[in-house]
Amino acid sequence: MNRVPDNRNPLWIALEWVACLALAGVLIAAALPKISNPDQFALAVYQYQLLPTMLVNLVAVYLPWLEISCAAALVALPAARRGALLIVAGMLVVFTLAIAWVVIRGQAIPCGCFGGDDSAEAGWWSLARNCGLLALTALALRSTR
Amino acid sequence: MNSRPMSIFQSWALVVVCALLLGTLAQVVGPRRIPWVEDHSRRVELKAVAAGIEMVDVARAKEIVEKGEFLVCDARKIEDFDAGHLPGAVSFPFGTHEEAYNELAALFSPEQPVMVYCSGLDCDDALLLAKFLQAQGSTKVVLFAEGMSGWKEAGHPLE
Repeated sequence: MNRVPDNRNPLWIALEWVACLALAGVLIAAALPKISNPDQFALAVYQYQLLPTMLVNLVAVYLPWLEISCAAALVALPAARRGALLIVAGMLVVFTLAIAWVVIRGQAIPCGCFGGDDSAEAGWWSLARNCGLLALTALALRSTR
Repeated sequence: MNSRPMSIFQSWALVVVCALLLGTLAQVVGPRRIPWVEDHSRRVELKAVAAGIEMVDVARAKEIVEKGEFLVCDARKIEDFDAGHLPGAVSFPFGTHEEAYNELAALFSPEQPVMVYCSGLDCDDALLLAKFLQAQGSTKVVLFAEGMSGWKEAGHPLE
């Protein structure tokens, strides 16, 4: 692996690390309940009624592992950070649109954001939180330049 | 010092392949596996069959309501019940069902037939309530799975 000198302002370097670690933490916290209760998560995915039947369980199975892989890349593989951050941003955009659609439809379904736990509804708070995470991802992307 | 970054596509490939491998591994050898494809809309029906609870359709539910022999229980929240319910139904919200059962105990007996419903096929509460009532000793509990949405679609009157 070739090494290139990192000439960035140390502040940006620190910011990149903090943002990536924070995002990795959130991703892992989001993924673990989905992995330990895949049936509950599959139900939550189904209730959005946005995917054809064929894809619901596939998404329920693979999405949390995508979150884990991105988290691992963010923490352990700085060379892959930009790519991982772009995937995270893409996921957040898709989730935010899905939740917005649920809010527009007036459905009362669990978010599924941190597993299929019933207590967290897909609503304004999840939207706000996603926007915050998107901003953090954008910041991290900016700092990797 | 930083190692030269991978191209975006290389990092995407790496992350996606890892995710696919891990996910597949979890499904093949993991302790919590789910079917690759599942029809979630039938989930209530399948669980009812497994619990030995008889399911009734809209037509039969209408007969039951008209004859008045069954005790009809609405498993939805009280606000939903107040907004409109099946004629003659009693509010029996699933979350507070234990207290509600104590209050309504006089209405139940092992022989008293009961019909339970909630909002529709996606709602689990009626099924859970039906199982609860069975556990309390009711011998004839039926589930009107299509619930409020099925009743409304058929254009039947509400209270």
